[in-house]
Amino acid sequence: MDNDLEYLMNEIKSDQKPVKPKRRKKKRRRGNGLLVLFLFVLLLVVVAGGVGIWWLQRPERKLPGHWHRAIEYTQEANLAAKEWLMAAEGGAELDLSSYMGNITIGTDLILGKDGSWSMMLDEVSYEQARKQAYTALELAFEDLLITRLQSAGREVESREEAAQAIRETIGMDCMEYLQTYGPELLVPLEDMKQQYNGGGNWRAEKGVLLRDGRGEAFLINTDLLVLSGQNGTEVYYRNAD
Amino acid sequence: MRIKRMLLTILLIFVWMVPAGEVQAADQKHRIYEDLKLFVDGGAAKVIKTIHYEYKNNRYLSLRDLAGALSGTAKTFELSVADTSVTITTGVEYQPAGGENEPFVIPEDTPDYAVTTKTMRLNTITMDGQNVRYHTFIGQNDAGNNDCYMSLTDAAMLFDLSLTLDTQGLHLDTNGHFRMDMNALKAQGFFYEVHSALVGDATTGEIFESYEENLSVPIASTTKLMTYLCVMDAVTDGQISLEDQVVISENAERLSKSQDGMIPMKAGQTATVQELLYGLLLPSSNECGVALSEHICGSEAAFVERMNAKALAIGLSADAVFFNSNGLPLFTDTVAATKIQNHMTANDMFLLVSHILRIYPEILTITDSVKADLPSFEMSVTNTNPMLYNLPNAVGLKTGTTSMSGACLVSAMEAEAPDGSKHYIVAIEFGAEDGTVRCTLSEELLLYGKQCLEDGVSGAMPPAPEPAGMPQDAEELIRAVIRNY
Repeated sequence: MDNDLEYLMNEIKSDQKPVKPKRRKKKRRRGNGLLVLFLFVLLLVVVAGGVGIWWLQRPERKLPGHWHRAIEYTQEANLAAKEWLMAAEGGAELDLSSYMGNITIGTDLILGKDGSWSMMLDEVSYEQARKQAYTALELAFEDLLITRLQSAGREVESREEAAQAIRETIGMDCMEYLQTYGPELLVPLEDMKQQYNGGGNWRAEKGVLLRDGRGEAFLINTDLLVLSGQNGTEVYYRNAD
Repeated sequence: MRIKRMLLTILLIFVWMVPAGEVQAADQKHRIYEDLKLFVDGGAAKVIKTIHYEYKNNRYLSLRDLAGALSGTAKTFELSVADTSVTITTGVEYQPAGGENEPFVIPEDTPDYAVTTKTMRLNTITMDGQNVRYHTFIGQNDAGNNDCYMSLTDAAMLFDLSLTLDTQGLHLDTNGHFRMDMNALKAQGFFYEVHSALVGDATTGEIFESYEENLSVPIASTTKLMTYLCVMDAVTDGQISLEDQVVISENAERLSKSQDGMIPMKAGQTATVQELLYGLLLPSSNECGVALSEHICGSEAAFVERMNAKALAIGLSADAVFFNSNGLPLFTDTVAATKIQNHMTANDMFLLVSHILRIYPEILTITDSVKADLPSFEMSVTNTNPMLYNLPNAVGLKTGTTSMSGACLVSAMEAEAPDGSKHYIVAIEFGAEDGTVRCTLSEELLLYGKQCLEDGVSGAMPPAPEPAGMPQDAEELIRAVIRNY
C-alpha cells in the first residue's frame, strides 16, 4: 500500500503511464519455475551421468583380459639345494641365496568377456626357472668341491677345473648329474601343470570372482588384480597382448 | 668163521690177480702207491713213484724220481731233501742218491710204509734261492734217502712242465710250458671243489673264466679289502691320516684276547693307522678292523654302514652285504639268534678289487709284503697269502677262512701283455675245502689268467655298474672326485 502511494506520487510527478502490479508478480513466478525445472533437469543429468559412469566403471568390467602371475619358488629351491649340499662336509656353510637369485614360474589367467576362463602354466618360464636353480646348485657345488680338493692337498682353483674333474670321475657333466641324480629343486612340471592348468566359467558379483563355484574376493585397478581365497593371495598383472 | 676165512681168501686172490700193466697198488691208510710210467719227450718209460693221497687220482709224485727222469734234459734240476725242507736248483744236473726211478717196494711185514708215516704239511721249498711253499710230504724212500712228494699239478706249475696224462702214463715235453686247457678241465669238473671262482684282468676289467660268479657266498676275511677301501677313503678325504695314533678300545682288546684274536692289544694303548692296516691285511687281524672302524666312525656299526654304502656306490650288487669290518661270523640280536656272515659274489669281489687297484694301488705295498714289523705291538707279522711264496710276481691280496665260507683267497699277480703293458691278473676263489685246494686252484687260476693275457685272449667284460653305482649324494661325489683327481 505504501508502495502504491509512492508510485502514484511519482506518477503525478511524471508523465509515464503506470504498470499495474499484478503482471510483475506473474513474471517472477514464471522465472522461478524455470529455475527449478532447470535445476531438476540438471540433477537428473548429473544423476544419470553418475549412474552411467558408475555403470561403466564397475570393477567387474575390468576383469576380462589376460592376467599374468609370477609364482615365487626361491625359498623352495633354496631349501632343496641346501638340504642336498648339507650331506657333504662343508656344505652347511654355503650361502645359497647368493647363488640362487629369484626363482619364479609364470601362470597365465584369461578371463573372457563371454564368461569363460582358462589358466595355463608358462612352461617356458618353468624351464628357465629350473635351469636357473640347477645352475645355482652347480656353481655352489663346484665351489665346495674346490674347497674340499684343496683341503685334500689337490691343486685346483677354478670352477672349470672342478667341472673337468667331475666329468672325468663320473663320465658326465655336473649339471647333467645334478638333474639326473641330484635333488628335485622344483615341483615336477607335470605336477605343476596338474595344479594350475584348467578352465571353465566365471562371473563376478559384489567384489567376488566366482569360477565354477569357487569364490575369490578380488581387488582390481587398471593393471593389477589381487585374488584372495582359500589358496591365499594371488597377485596378477595385466598382460599387454 | 670158516666161511668168512674162505671169502677173505677169495678176495685176496682177486686183488693179487690185478694185471701188472695197470696201477700196482697196495692200499694202506687211504693211500695208493702207483708206479706211474713217465715218458720224457717220447722216450722210454721211466718209473716215477706216485702216491694217491687219501683219494684215487690225487697224485703226489716223487721229486727224486722226477729229477732222475729229467736229468740231461732242458728241465733238469738238482734236488736235496732234508727232514723238513727241500732245495731245488734248476739247470743243474741231478746227482742220484739212490732209489730213483725204482718201483715201490712195500714189505709185506711192514704195514706202515716209511713214506706214509709223514704227514702232509705246508713245507718250504727253496727254488733257485726263492722260498716257495707247497703242501708236500717228506719221508725216506726204499734206499733210505729223504724224498719229497708233491702234487702232480703243483709240480707242473713249479717246474713249468708241459704234462699230459693218459692210460699209458705221464707224458712230459721238455720244450713245452705249463698250460691249462680250461674247456677240458671244466668238462672234468675243474671248479666243483669250490663254491665260486673267477679269474680276470683287473686292469682292463676283462673276465677270462668264472664259475658261479653271481652266487652270493660268505667271504670271511676277504671282507678286509672293503675295510681297507673305506679307511683309505677317510685318509683321502682328510678325515684321518696314516700317521694318526689310534687308541685301542676295550672292544678291540676283548676281541684280541678271544680265539679269533691275532695281535695282543690292551685298551688305551695306541698304534698308527698304517700299522693297523698292516695288521689287518697280513695276519688278518680282526681286532685291527675294529680299532680302525672305531677310530674313523666312532663305532664299528657306523663304519659298517659306510662299507655298505660304499658297496652300492662302486656298483656292487645287492648281494654284497656287510655286517662287520672283519668277516667274522656273528649272531643276530633276536630270540632265534642266527649266525650271519658278510657275503657277496665273485663278480662283486672282482669289481671291488679292480676299484682298489685303480684308486689305491698302494695297497700292494702292504699285501706284497711277506713280513712286517708292528713296533707299537712289539711284534712282527707274516702274510697268510700262499701265492706270495709260490709265484714270483704275486702281489696280494687276502685270504679268508670260516667254517661256512671254506678257504677263500683273493689273489693278484703282475703280468705283462704282448705290448709290454703291465696288467694285474686277479683270481678269486670262494669256498675251497681246505688250504691245499685253495692254494693249488688259486695258483692255477693266476697262471691261466697270465696265459690268456699272453695269448691275447679277450675276456668277457662284466656288465656296466647300474645307475645306483653313481655317487648317491654330494659327499659321495666329492669323495669320488678327490680319489680320482
